[in-house]
Amino acid sequence: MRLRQHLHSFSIVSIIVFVLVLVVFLQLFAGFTGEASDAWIHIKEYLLFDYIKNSFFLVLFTALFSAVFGFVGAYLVTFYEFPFRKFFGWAMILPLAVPSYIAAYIYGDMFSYTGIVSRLLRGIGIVSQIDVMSLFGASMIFALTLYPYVFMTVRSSLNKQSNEIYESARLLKVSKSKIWRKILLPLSRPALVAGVLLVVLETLNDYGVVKYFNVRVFSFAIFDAWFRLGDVGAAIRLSGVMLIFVFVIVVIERVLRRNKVYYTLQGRKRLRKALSTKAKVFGYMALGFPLMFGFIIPVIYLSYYSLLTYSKTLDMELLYVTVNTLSISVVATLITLFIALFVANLDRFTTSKFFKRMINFITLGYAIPGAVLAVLVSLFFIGMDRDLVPLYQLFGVDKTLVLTRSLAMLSFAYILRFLTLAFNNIESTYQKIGPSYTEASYTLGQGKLKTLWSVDVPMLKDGLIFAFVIVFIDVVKELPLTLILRPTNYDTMATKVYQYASDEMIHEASLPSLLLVSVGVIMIYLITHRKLKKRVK
Amino acid sequence: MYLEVKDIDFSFKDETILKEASFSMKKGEIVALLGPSGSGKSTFLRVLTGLAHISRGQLFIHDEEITKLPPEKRHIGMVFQDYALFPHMSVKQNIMFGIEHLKKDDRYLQLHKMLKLTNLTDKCHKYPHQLSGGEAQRVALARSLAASPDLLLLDEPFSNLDTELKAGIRLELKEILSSLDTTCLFVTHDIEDARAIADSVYTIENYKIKKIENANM
Repeated sequence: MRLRQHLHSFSIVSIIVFVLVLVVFLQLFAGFTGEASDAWIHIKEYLLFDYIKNSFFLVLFTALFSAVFGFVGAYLVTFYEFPFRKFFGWAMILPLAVPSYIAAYIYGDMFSYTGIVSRLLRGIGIVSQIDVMSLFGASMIFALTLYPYVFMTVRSSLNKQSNEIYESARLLKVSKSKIWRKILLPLSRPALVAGVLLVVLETLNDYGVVKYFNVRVFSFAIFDAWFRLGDVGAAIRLSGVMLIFVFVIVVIERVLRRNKVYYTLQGRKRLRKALSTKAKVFGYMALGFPLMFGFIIPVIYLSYYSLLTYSKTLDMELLYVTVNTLSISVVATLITLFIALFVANLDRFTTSKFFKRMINFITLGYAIPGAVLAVLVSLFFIGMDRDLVPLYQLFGVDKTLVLTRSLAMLSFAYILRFLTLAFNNIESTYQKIGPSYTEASYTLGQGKLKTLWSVDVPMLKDGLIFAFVIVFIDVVKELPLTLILRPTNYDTMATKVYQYASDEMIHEASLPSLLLVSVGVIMIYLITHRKLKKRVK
Repeated sequence: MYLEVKDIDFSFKDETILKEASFSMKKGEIVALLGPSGSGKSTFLRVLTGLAHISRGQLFIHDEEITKLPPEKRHIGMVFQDYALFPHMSVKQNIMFGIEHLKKDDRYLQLHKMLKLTNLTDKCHKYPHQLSGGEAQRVALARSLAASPDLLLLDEPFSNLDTELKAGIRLELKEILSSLDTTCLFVTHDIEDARAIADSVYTIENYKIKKIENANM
């Protein structure tokens, strides 16, 4: 009877997802059981330390730069009043629409020997070339395109903090630097750390930038072992080590954040201080630098080269690629949201420790880098296809690999990876709404699904739209998973751009890149302006 | 007895709220559960509705065991402290939400009956944010009563109302409940609320539900 209390639509969907995720992750252990290959022994002895070292420094520099860009920007638009403050409030998020690998291709080209920057420098007599295609350059690219994660989380946390805290500190004659050290930074630390973690996970997930810049980090190594050396076993072992690396980062984040969320709802409207002329110059530089290099320059570059190359690249193939990208992204995002809605509902009302742990496990996906997830999902589908051969034969299908490298497999990987994002957004909206509406519906005799559809979904509308946009943008941009798991001859905008870049056709990559960035910009504009409109109302 | 609660245990996060607690009510009786914040009064209502699960004991309504039934199958209505009116639905839609299973004619008959009873006929098409505190409370009451629950629970029904409004609403509530012969258990921290409406008054003491004798004096 007790079991029956726990079994309902929400728990059943969650259990199915849990089993699938578990089976996928078990592939990792299966991969470790075989004998170590020569390639793995070689990697372990000569290369592994470099992979760890490079990954560490890449993550460290990216975290530092993005923390500075994101935090200073959020601080300025929250606490100060200056011309174009509202514009910066949403424009600072725009670099999120520029995939890191596209920014890497652009700056790689601009700073190359024949690139515009090098030519300009030579024009003024500076012969030495700035090498952006390095670990440092890669971390700067990541910071410039990913800092909006820090900006958004910190700004949201600062907005929730009581204005009176800062006012009382000032009345106590505490110096500005002490307010920063003793109040602002400690209160914002959980949000700052959470934002930086997102940046770090995205950095570790990347393959496009590190491949193009030849920075030998884990995702580079996994692809290299799998595709160049043809050694799946070594790729799995590298995935295992990479997961330990990610695990250490997540533990550090938990320790730094100590699972605390500090905020007191502000009692009064925040009165923003005006910036002095000197401070204004600093403010515009602090906001302008990341926006300029993270968004404006890439868009100008892409627009310029799109105009120059469109006669070669604007064809039916680009249309197919666009349709492919949008259709799979919409389908994968909707399924992800649907599952996240069920899992979040289970999370809301369950008292079972088993279910709580199960949900934690299901929503691990975002912490798992794309390269690792691609390896595990591939192995899972190959195994499943092998088991299903008799069934295929029954239906007269001769092929042995039906599901492997199918759209179903690609969508499955997207869902696994982005479920965390959808879940977190839905869960936080549920927390704002509280449980009483749902409970009221239950006491009025309505069941779980009816309540979900008639009460929860309309009330979650904003959270669902936000979750849709965030997941959709990420699916559209996703490169490593798509690259490995896509069906043969199936391209998305991301793989098309990658293909052009691999063929040293950077300028030809501009039009699909511009399309990709435009999708992101439209989505970001929609959610930021929807929020603004609501606030005005 | 109409409602029977037998030897129930309930804990939340390792804290005992109720232990071997028993309680009963007669049909049509109005009972107040009195006590300070945090004494477990609202939790007891959640236990009755099935929104919180007991670790031991049994619950009966009309001699039918409801202990293991989910909230939606218990036929127990509840008016929440914050009323929990669905903000995206009008007054009419809120009231009709729990009676969608009825035939259209019966549904509208019940709607009009409730609107008339709670004096809300002219507010039918308004949305929750367009209502005053007293009106919102009446909508929440009408919504729960429309489903003709076997037992009605009210969680601090007057806590969001100012003192002047309170006196009038207490009387209204008493009249409505009596006219429908509704069995009602309500939670309050105010002895005046209890005296004004309830037939008998209980409190939670040492994890048990105890009757306060002479509370209406």
